[in-house]
Amino acid sequence: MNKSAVLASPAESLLGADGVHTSQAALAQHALDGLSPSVVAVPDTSEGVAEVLKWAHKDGLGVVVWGSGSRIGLGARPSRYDIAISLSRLNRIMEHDVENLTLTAQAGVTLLEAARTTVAHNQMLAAGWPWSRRTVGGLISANRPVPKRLLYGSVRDQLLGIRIALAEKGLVGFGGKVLKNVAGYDMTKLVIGSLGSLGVIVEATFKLFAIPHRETYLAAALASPILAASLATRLANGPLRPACLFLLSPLAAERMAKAQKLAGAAREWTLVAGFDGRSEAIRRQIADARALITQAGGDPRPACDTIGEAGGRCLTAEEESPPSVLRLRVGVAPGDVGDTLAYLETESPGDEPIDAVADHPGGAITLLFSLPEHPGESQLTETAGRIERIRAWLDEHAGFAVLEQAPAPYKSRISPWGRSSGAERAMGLIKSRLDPKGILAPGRFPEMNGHLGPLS
Amino acid sequence: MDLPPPDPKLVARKAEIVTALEEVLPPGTVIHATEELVAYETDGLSAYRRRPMVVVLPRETAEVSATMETLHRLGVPVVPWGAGTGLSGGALPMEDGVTLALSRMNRILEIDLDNRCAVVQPGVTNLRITEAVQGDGFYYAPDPSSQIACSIGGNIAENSGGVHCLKYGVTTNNILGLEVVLADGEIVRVGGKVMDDAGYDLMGVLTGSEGMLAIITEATVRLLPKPESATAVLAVFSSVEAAGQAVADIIGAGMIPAGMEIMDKLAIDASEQYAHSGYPVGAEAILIIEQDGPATEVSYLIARTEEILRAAGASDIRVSRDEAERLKLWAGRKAAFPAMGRISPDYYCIDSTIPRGALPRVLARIRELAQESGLRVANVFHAGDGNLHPLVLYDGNVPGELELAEQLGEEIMKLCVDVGGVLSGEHGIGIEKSGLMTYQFGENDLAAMQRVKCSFDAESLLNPGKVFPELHRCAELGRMHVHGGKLKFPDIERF
Ligand SMILES: Cc1cc2nc3c(=O)[nH]c(=O)nc-3n(C[C@H](O)[C@H](O)[C@H](O)COP(=O)(O)OP(=O)(O)OC[C@H]3O[C@@H](n4cnc5c(N)ncnc54)[C@H](O)[C@@H]3O)c2cc1C
Repeated sequence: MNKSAVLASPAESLLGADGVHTSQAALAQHALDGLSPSVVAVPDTSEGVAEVLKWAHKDGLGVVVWGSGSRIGLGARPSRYDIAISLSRLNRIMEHDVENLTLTAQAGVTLLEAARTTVAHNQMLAAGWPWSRRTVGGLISANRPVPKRLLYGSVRDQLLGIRIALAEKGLVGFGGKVLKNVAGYDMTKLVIGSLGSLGVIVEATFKLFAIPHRETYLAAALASPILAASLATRLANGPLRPACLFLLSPLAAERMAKAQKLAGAAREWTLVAGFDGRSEAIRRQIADARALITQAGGDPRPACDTIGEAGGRCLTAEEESPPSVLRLRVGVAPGDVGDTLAYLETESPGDEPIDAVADHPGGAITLLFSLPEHPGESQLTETAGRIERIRAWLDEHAGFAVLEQAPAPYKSRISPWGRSSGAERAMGLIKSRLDPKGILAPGRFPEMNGHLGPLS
Repeated sequence: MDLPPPDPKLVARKAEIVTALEEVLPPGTVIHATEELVAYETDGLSAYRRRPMVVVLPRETAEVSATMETLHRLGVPVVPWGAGTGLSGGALPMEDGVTLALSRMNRILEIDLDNRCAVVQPGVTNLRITEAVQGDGFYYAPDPSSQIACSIGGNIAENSGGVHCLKYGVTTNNILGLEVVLADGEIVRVGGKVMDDAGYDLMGVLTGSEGMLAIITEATVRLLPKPESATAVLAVFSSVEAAGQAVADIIGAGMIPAGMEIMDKLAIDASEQYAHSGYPVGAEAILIIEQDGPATEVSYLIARTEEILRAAGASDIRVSRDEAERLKLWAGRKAAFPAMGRISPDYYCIDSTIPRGALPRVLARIRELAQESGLRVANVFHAGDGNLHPLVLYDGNVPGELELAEQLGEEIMKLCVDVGGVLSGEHGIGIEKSGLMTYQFGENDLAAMQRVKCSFDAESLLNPGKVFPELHRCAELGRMHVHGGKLKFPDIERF
């Protein structure tokens, strides 16, 4: 009997026949880095998730959790992959507490579904774009950058509580729906960015914000990334309250002007400043920002203006890119963004223009490489060498580069994380205690491997 | 509450422990004479005191590391100490343990305005950070009332809040990186100027860990540009419940003011006698709200705030016209705690958070509980984030009053948990609330936290006896021995 058939019946006894898929199509849909699971479990309750984990723990089966799959490529190739848990049926909004400005949703709820609920009360989840089909669980697990973090904070600032299923211990809950909470360790933080390697998030509570009356974006063409970045610093450090500050390389600016509604962007280094708030206040801020930009030698142009629609679709920079694209997320100190972009531009072989979008306040640069999908050996060596060079430069600037997505041949040649942070021992020990047999997202953080302790 | 007795075997080893520490630390770093230890007997939960066996006062991370390495080897418990202002007994010493006081590590190491951050040692006081950068138009947002005295290390260990945390977040939202020393002396860095590094958010779990996971030896804190303008409003209400409803209305209207605080009659009267900030003596409740940001935004927000306050039944509304008036509106609130000393020999400050919609209901019930107990309760609290601070007034010299106050406190905390709230919003669990943790958390929740504890501190030497009702040993049967990668008794619970 093949493994699928062997695992299907215990899975079905836990979840019922409609909670387990073993068709070739379902398995292929959940393939990852060239590996396919033996079963796809689709529980429709949190308890169901916990049951599957207990079984996997008992039998030592490797588990990978799927939200929408948009960042499933993060991390190294799983070392074991028996069960894919899809959270697509864990899709209920548990509570929208309007008075308290909080939303509790199951992990498989998408940002779009969350927005549909909250908009009725003029509230929004600011953790991502409201039209996104990404799930709230995935957003937390992959620690997705929040587009307007300057104004609303990042996922760790917005997440108030979670319920997770642990490999051995079943369902546990931490945090809650209150803003201030110091009772016990802040376990909610631990799962942010953990890629499902500590437990499976089944439910999360976020704080909400009022939908701003107006969202306006201003684009400014500047002669160099250094100028654009120093302008971004001035805007962030002064009396204005921008919601976001993005720096676009000429290629990215052109791409986004075409694909999105980002008027005013052309094939030039571009700074996009977004402002959320009341019309009068925004008008004042835009006028002041224009003056600053002109003073800095820039050319300010209105880029996008929306009223009463959270996150007018101007800037979907960080959204999905086609699977053929290699996407690198570079992290540097915000003050180093300009130098880093300038370096990346000069580093590019043959003066190829770079496709880079930088979230300046977050110090995060998303670099897209369009590469041949079926590369020869020399192409592979060249790309791997280039990323190694970039990482070496970043190392000297305390930065890092994470491989977020890459076609399989590249992924097998390039380390996904690229460096050790020095805290792997502590992380490995936590992993060993919470997932003693190492069944959850096994091997996705290879840097921890040497530290997984006697319990794993 | 009964504190466990010291271990006589450890106490008997005092000379050995002092010698071992003195061997690895510079002269003057280890203190063990009784008269010098007195200053460390109690933190802000002054109903409880214990004299530490030894106090170590390091100046550098390397000295902290040497201390921890030595004590780990000797199996001696360590209690970290910042400035001793904590209100839940988190820094309460152990007679068979070493207090590691970080107060001499008090240098600001770097101010980096391009990256909007400062790098500081843990003993730097909260207020000093703002003082160091305000000339450049920046500040450090979390502002506990104790900010003149409390240390940033203590703030991080407690995840402290303040009146301006509603909009800008508490400590955890304003820390970018940490350097910590683990129980065995290893130095680890997490986070920093570069954000969103891969891996688990250790900084998140270390913040608020009450000195039980690691010693904080350096912090990179976020600085914010000062808002262009700020205006405060004071509104008078006929009951605390009505003021609480106004808070819910403002939040429900989607506004997040910079601060939103309620004081009740007892607190208003005490504060006014003490601070003379012009508060309406005799009023049942006041609500103080601050809006900040670009001037045009603030004037709109203030107008809208006034509208909502009026609709909620405010009888008198004062709006600050300049900075001096704004500060004056806040002065009484900031003086509320010290003012309590004027009207009661002792007070017990409770600190629970509830969902904001439950404010009116819970406030009414607290009043009933107070009446039943016969003790007076003053309310001064961070209403915007639902963080209640009922102050139970009592006289420690009257036999049984402390116990009565603690019992009332427990009932109030349980009430808060019952409505979906939590035991502590900012003061921590310490020794004060550890007995109630099982009321809020299930067995498995606590077990998971204890597993994290064991990951950092398998021998349970860091601040033992705090936060958790009882700490299981990290390995059954004493130390865990692993032979050839195989575990004995693989099915026995290990945490
Ligand atoms: C009058 C008054 C008003 C207050 N107002 C507020 C308020 O508005 N908001 C608020 O949140 N709190 C308030 N507090 C409580 C208190 O000031 C805070 O909890 C503060 O953060 C404690 O800092 P500390 O330096 O005094 O720490 P300590 O009391 O010395 O220690 C607190 C805890 O942190 C641990 N610790 C200290 N330093 C370190 C370190 N470097 N590494 C690891 N662990 C460490 C200790 O072991 C202990 O568990 C108030 C206290 C008083 C007395």
